[in-house]
Amino acid sequence: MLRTILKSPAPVRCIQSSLYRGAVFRPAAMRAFSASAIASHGHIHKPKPGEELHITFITKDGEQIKVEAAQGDNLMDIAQAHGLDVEGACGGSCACSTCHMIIDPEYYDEMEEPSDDENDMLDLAFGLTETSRLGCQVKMTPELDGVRVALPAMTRNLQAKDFNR
Amino acid sequence: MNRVAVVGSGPAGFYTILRILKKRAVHVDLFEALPVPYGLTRFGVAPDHPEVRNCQERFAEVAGSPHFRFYGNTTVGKDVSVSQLLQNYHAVVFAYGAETSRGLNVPGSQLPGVISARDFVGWYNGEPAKQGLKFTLDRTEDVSIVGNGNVALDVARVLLRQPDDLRSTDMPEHAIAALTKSTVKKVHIVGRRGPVQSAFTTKELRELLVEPQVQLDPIVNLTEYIELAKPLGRAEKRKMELLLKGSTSPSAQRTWSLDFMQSPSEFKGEGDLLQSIEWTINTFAPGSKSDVVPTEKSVTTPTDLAVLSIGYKSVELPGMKEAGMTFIKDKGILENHRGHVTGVPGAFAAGWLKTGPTGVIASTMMDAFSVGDEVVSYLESVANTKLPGADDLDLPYAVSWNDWLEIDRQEIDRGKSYGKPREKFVSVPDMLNAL
Ligand SMILES: Cc1cc2nc3c(=O)[nH]c(=O)nc-3n(C[C@H](O)[C@H](O)[C@H](O)COP(=O)(O)OP(=O)(O)OC[C@H]3O[C@@H](n4cnc5c(N)ncnc54)[C@H](O)[C@@H]3O)c2cc1C
Ligand code: FES
Repeated sequence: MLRTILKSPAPVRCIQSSLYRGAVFRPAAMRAFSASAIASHGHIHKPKPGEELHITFITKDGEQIKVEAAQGDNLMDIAQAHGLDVEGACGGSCACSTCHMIIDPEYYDEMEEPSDDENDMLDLAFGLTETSRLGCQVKMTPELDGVRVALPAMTRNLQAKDFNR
Repeated sequence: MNRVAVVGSGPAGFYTILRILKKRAVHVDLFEALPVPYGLTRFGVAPDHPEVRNCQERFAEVAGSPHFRFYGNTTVGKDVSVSQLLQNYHAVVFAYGAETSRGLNVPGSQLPGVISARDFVGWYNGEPAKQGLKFTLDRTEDVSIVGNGNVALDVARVLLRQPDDLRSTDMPEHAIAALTKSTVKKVHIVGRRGPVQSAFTTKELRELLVEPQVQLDPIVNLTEYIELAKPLGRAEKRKMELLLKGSTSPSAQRTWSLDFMQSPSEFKGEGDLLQSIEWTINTFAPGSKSDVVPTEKSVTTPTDLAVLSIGYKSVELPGMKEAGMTFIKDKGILENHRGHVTGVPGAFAAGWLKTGPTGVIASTMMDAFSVGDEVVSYLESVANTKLPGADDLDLPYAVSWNDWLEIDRQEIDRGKSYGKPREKFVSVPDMLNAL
């Protein structure tokens, strides 16, 4: 499934590096209601000139969004800082799985294996794939320059294990 | 601007509001029965899982929106009626969770030695309604927990951990004191079905397995159960691997067991302590790898205290029926289609009231987002008539968001002298007196 998402010929929107200036960025779609809009989280560093790492996020609508990121920042913070719809309910503590992302298989192998704790949370993620990761646990490294990352569609019929039976 | 009322300030309420405000400028009034917000993330989630509560920071951001108002200490169905909300708002989202616990109807289940996990959890988390409860921890050695979801494991962990390890959490002092006097030595967690069908998650299991000074008894016939259930999914496989490894704390002072294929058939006891539980032994239904049926066989185990952890249940609010809503009693949910309450345009259900009391915050969140989307598209279709919202409601005792921030500040302050993140106010009068 991932390959089809990654290949979708959706328009490419480039986000200017001026975004890094404000601590919190409000994407265009939200600016219309800026009086009541709630900004996304995401605190990231400005990459040093010449050391920008490139990521293409593929939204659940198939839109491709190219961003530049600094080494060491994690995929969830980066996505949020660019106004992408990633909630991150536990604030990046590896305790919720709401930052689930699907990694381009070519890059997945370049990453360190997920920890037991991350795998425990991935078990609960909806629509898990072979190359699923928790965005908050993946830090950008030079090896990941150019990675493509799909944000899975939110789905109503969740499979998350019953909390209470 | 449209006006939206939300009933209940747990994850369902807040995530629905977050979604609506992201997509549409509306006025939101949030009604909460208690003076303090956040629902089960304050009164359910275990004190030693502070990271799970991080979602509260996000909820506080939502509350910071200029078009948001909080009416704490305001019970819908009592302080304000359902019909009043429906009149005063363009849309009303019911997200008041699952108040009560499912019971068991077997002989002896009403004995004082049989308690509900909901009561115990509420007690150790400082939920006002549960503060009068007394448990026999200082005279109890053997506890049996009926049900094996994550709540059962939370309860087991709180009973098994060294109380000193809980001192740095926000567990209220009275609960820490009672747990310090606890004489509990053994906790059995008993499930109706087999290990592969157990409801707890790998994360919670791992946590108990690595807990020092706590030892899990080896599970009887585990490999046979696994063979029978094959092929296993990824999560099941990882959980079973962990169970096969078990735990190694030879010097353990406290032990626990996971028992399977048993349902309680009778509780026996005297005074406030139990003596024993009789269990019916279950077997897999013919042709099924996961469903069970009772057999004629039974077993009796000695125990001092039973904790029922077999699920929560929502209750109907007064005035719902009159407003044309249908509450489905056996499921404990408000009848709805994709969140639209059946028969009442503009009324919505979200969270455990909509889905039934299952799932984690992540699943509640995704569901709340889908309800938020439904509310937004509904609002696009209604006339933007001028409605009063809470302005013409008579709510002299309501607690505002700034009031809550003051309670919050004082709780954090009280915590400092104990070296913990906060010392909660555990009664409604204490919360209100802080203001
Ligand atoms: C013991 C326990 C531990 C849990 N631990 C975890 C965990 O570690 N991780 C995780 O992801 N999930 C956990 N969960 C699940 C999580 O708590 C739920 O998914 C989530 O809280 C459900 O949200 P809700 O908003 O539907 O209900 P609730 O959180 O229950 O919120 C409902 C709110 O409505 C209010 N209310 C009730 N009646 C009225 C009324 N008449 N008028 C106004 N307000 C009213 C209540 O006071 C409450 O604040 C746990 C659940 C339990 C029971
Ligand atoms: S934000 Fe919760 S697991 Fe990543």
